Amino acid sequence: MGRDSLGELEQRVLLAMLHLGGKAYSAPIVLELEDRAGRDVSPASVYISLRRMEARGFVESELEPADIRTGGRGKRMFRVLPVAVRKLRASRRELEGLWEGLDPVFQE
Amino acid sequence: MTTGHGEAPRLARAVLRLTVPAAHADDVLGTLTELHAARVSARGRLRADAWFWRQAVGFGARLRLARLAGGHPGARRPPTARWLEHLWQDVRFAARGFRRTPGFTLACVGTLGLGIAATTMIYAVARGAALRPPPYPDPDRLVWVWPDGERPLTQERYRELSAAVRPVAELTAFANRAFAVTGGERPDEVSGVAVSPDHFEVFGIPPIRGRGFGPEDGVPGGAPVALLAEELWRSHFGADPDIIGKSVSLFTSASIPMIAGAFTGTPHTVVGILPAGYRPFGFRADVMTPLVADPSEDSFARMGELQVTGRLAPGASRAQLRTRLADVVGRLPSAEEAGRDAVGGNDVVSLHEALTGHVRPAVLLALGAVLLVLLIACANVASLLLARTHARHEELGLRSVLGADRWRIARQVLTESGLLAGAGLLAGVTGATLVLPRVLLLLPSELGLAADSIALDGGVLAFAAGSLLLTTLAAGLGPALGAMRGPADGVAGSRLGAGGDRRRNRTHHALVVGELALAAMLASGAGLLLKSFSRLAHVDPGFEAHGVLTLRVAPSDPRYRAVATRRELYARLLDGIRGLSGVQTAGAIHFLPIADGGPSLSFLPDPADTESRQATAYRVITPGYLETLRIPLLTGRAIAEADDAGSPPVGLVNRALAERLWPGDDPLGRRLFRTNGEVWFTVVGVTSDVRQAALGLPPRPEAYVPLAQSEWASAMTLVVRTSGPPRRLAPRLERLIREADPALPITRTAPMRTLLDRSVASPRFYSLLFAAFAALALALGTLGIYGVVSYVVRQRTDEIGVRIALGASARHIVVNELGRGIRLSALGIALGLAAALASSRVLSGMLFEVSPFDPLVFGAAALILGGAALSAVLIPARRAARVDPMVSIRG
Repeated sequence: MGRDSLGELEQRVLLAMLHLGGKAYSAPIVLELEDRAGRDVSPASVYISLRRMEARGFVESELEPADIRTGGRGKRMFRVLPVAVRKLRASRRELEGLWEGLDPVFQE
Repeated sequence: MTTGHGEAPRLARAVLRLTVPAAHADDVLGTLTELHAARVSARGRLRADAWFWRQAVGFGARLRLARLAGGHPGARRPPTARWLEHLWQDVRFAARGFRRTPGFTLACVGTLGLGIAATTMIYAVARGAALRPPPYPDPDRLVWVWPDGERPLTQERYRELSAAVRPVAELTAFANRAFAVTGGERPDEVSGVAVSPDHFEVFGIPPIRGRGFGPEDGVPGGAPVALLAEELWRSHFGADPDIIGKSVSLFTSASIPMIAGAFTGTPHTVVGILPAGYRPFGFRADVMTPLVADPSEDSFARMGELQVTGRLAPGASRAQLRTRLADVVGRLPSAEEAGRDAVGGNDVVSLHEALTGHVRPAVLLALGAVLLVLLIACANVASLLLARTHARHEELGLRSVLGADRWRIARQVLTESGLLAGAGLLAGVTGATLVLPRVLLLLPSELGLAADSIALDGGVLAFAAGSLLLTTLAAGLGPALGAMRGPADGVAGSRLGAGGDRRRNRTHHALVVGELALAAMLASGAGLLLKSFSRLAHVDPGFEAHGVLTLRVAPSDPRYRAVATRRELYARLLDGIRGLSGVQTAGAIHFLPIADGGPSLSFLPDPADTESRQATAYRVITPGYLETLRIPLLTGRAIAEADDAGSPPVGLVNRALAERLWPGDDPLGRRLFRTNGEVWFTVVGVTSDVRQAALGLPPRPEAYVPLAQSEWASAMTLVVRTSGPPRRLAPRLERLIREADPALPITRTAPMRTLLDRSVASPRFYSLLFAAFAALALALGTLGIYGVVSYVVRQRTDEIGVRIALGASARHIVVNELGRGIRLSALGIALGLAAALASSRVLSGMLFEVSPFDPLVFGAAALILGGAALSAVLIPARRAARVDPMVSIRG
């Protein structure tokens, strides 16, 4: 995994965010991932992944005012940046290239 | 999406706040709170909370591992957070280390767990039975007035007295009563107590149903009322919710039912139910009735003994009450007539002391002993940790060189001991929780420990937590200090260098000496108690208990009110019993030695000379009694069937009474006057002495009179000598008694041997407990010394190898190592025995015919400990001799 490419978890988090409209708080992201994967997802990994991607410029965040759902605390809203979408597209292309021609192997 | 509104556990949130770096705290907490709420609605609160806890514990560490801790560096984090972070690191580090050495960990946790479990259980017993004050409001103000006189207190005197001391204290009296309750198959004899009507005001706890007694209940001629114990209400009345106001037939008799007509089967109106476990006088009263202010109640026989408790006025002291009692006693209107009587000299003790004083010394002693065991366990773990710390010498040294400060390293070691102690505490408390209820079932009731008040409550758990602190410090402090000193030369230090080793060995040696000293204290204490118990168990009671079955019957039916019908009943029962196969002899007595107390009456050889009166144990017997218990007749004849109501009154005296009244003279044919009942009887025989009250108490003067000539005695104990095991005959005897009268309560069936054993249950229990502690201490101590000596030998393998290479013989090496072990052991044992001698005074109250300085016991303790220590030293010493010099030098 090169310095600029996205890890698997990062890709999942970004895709979940895009499902949520491109911007989301971390709790809904966790729930979205759990919904789609059908298993528990560690909030710590998601949070760490978000903060790392923020540091690398894939997402940006801003603090929003307090909300009763978070127990009256301010919430950090993350937004997917275009560079991340480009990275996702690239990695999808790369993967699709790898999958091509392998259909007979995976026929059930 | 998030519909649930359950708050996450507060404690977990606090943990999160402390462990998550401040820069992230709000964010993380918000996220987790929202997810928690979603989980509450999806999976329920319990699973959501558990999930939240897992996040709370792990989140901070994950962040830190991801090196996201930064943002705003440590400065903004509170010091507690940093401290917790270090602690968490230490704990994880220690836990990893322990996982790598499961044997070591198991040994430490097992040792500490055993010590903590034993300590926790003994403390639970001590707290329940002796330390916790009685459960009444302001228990400090409750007192018990001990009588110290010859005559029982009368109601009249009591009333004068209680009026006179009123400014200082509110007195309230009680007297034991025995009742028979009908209902069920047969009438049951139950315990009861008659109390002054103000009882509930003084003690301050109202009945759980109905009412207590009021002044109207103490008036002569009033309607009879009673309160029932919650337990009796359940067992005999099916917890009838409408029982208040109902009438219950109670057969009442004084607890010393000696005079004909003591029985009255009277309907009593139930006015209330006592709280469960209510024991204001230290025993459970199944039935409580009011003391009626009736002069006719003052007859000795009806009263039983009037006893006095009370509540001090706010601010008043026991000493004030004592002074006040002494002041007023001489000036009471009835003083003249009463003479030297019960309240002439008296002592005022706290109710707590009165109720628990008899068990407190033994229980506290047991607590002290078990704490010694715990200390030994700590010393063992300390020496294991010390060895481990030294084995990690280079690692600690490296950390120190890399910049870890010494405190941090010491704290790491303390964390390790704390973790071990915590695991030990968990194991110990779990063990105690599982074992204690079973242990309580095994505790003989004769110990007088109120089993139902013993539980692992908050106080006990707090004590256990305290013992955690003790064990952490005791086991970890030495190694931690060692680690602080040690690491500096850790990396550079040469393996042959002895400087650091010597210091560490000193700590090791101190631990061994301490362990053996503690073990020696326990061993000598256990030895003294065992010897005392053995002495007690071998006391000749004056009768032959083996092969004798006893059955106590208590006729409570009004039919037996007349003395003649009772005599006839016993004669009929004994005739039937003697006719059974397997019965050798049979007889009866109204107060069985050892098992029953029994009254003392005054006897005089000369009614005119009141100074000659002699307090004497009074026993009503039937022919066959002495023969059955094989109590030797020294001179004269035994009581015969011919000594009946129509023949001249006769009696027997024991040797003690004969020697007291007629020293050197022949007692046969002498006449004795019984003050109570005013009868003369002629002495026709002298028996040898019997221990009446307890094996440990010397025989008292005693007189025996035939049942056929006595007005007294309603309940009697039948004694039957059988040819086979006594217990086997019990069903047939009980059937025979039921056939004679289905309504006759049998209140006790037991072989005489069992009763005798029961009477020494308490000393037996404590001596075995001490022996168990001492054995545990010996085992731990021996393991400790083994561990230390083999450790020292291991550490000095290089040195020994060099010495062997230079020509030292194997024998020389063994002797050298053995000598070290022996010196340490001898020092430990000597110190321990000296400490035991110095403190043996605390044991003296529990010893029977054994000096607290018994040289035999101390010698034996030294020998056993010395032997054990020697064998523990021998193994590593021989190993030292087998060191291969090539291996150790190449190292």
